[in-house]
Amino acid sequence: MKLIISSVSGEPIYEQIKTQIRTAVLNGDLKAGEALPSLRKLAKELRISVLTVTRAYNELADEGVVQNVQGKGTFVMDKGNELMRRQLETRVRESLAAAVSAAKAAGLPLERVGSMLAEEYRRER
Amino acid sequence: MNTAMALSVTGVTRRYDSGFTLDDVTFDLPAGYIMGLIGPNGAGKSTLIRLILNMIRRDAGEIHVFGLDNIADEERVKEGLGVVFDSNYFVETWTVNKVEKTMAPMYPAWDHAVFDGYLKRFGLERGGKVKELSRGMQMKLMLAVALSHDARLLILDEPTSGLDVLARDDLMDILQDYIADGNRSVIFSTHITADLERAADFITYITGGRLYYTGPKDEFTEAFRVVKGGPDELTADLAAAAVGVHRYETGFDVLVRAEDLNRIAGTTGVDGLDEFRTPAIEPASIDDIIRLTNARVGVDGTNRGSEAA
Amino acid sequence: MMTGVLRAFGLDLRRLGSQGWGNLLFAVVAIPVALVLMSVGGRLSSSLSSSMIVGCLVGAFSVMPMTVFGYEQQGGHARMNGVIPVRRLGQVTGRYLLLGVLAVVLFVECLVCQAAVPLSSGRPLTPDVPVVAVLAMASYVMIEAVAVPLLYRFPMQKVWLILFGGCLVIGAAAAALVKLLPLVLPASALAACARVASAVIETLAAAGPAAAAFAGIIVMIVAVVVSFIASSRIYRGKEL
Repeated sequence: MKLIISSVSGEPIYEQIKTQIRTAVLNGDLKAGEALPSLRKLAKELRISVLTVTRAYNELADEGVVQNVQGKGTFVMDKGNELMRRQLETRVRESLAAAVSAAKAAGLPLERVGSMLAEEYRRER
Repeated sequence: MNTAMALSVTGVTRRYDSGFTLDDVTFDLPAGYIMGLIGPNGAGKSTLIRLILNMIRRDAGEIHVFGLDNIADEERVKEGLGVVFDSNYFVETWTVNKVEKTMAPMYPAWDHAVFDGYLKRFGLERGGKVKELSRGMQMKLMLAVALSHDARLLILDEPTSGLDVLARDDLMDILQDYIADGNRSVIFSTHITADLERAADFITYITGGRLYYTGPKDEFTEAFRVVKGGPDELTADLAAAAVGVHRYETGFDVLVRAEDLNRIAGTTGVDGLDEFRTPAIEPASIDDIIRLTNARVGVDGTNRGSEAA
Repeated sequence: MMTGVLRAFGLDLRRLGSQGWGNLLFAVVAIPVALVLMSVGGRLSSSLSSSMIVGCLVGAFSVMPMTVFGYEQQGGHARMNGVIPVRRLGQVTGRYLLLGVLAVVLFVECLVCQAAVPLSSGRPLTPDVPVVAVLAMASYVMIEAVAVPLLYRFPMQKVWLILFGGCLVIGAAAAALVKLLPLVLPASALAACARVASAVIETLAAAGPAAAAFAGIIVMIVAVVVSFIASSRIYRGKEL
């Protein structure tokens, strides 16, 4: 699993960790039931504070992506990536809804919106 | 007493004849973490450390280390403490070997092999005299001693002043190693906040003898923002919300609490550096916070001295 | 408590040897050797030898504890007392223990010198050998009993000033007293004082050397106890 910290991104470190772990779970780098690196080991290797890593792990646990097992470590939840996929799907739907209402307000027809969507899809990455 | 606390300082006060007072300081350090003790020079950090070590008289309050009273159980406490000062505390004519001969009998848990290991790692020769060592090497010698008797709390008083970046980096590495088992803790006072920016878990910030903040480092830095703008953009409500202000010829830096952002007109209350709009709102570093909480200049330009909000 | 005392004792011993054990060896070995050589060479009359022995030994040994304090006042070393796992009282006790050990070493060395010097030049041992040794030890103890609390309280230079100044003042006061008293008191009062003084001296002389030694020991013990209490009080309040 890749996990690096950018000191200039402006994004808080714990958010960066969360994002990268979610990505790893989504694309299968981290499999269901697999253990995340130990809290303290990760903190030491990334040279950041233990509390920061703890916060990232705890928030991921709250989201249901991982699970903290007392005395054993933190593990990717079964269906962790399914959960996230569903969360992201919801976000897609919400963004589309917002885009659609803006399009209607501007009087844009469906085909125009469709081609804009295709452009955006092809552009990203 | 909660023994999950490596260090527990409660209502500690010390009055000096000069008028300076370390006043009613309270904070805890849970076992397994690194705490940075920060503040400007003369703020009371060294006083606090000397109070923990019972080197100076305490006027009020309590100090507990591993749940033990630091005065009533002084010997037991100190058997579990490793101490590094900002300058050498051994007799200068001693050799490194003699330092071990002197310190080993002090501690039941002294481990010769561990000490030897650190000597090798730090490049310290047993035959070398303490006075011949560079500042950085002297610090490493104190550190080697501190790490060789299974101490559960490391206390470092400005260990990095006078050291170069590499040596400081090395030290932070060692400290993170030290707490890796989750049972051992570190408190270190420094005014080089770069050392703390990443690895410190907790911050205790002391200024003018008073406690300004104690708690997780992330919460400390996230609680503030720095607002920057041109000289004409320092509005009345920005100044009113300011915890600290620094004016200069071409603009100003203002420290505000993050929660106050949306009360300031002219900012959208939204963080971001998408384009360089001013007033620009940026995350506050530990340095920013210390710098700006020790000076306050009003909109009319008058200096209001230091202030703790 | 005892562990603490022993730790402090060990530390002070190491401090003593900080310039290398050569310095101490000098006091312990060189002095007797030098005295024996002088005696063999015929330079040391029997009457002079006792005072030479006592003078040299007491002089050399008295300075040793000052070395320990001296190191403590040097640079950052005073802070070590705050680091080591020994309470203040334990640190003072350990130091007095060291002084006691040095006193015993002094006593033994005095005996050895007093035996070696006459024997090496073919003279018999004088009967007052043990008494002289006790008095030597007592002198050393009295000096330290006064000096140690001062050393806890003041920096080295000031202590030297106080000690020498004190001696000068006492000496001058005594001389002045001797000069002035005859001028102030009538002849009959003076005569009465002289009678009392000689009576005391005669009683003491009649009591014999053993009594003198015994008295010396009592005075020593009292002095050490008072000194220790003073030192502990001073050091307890000291800020490192």
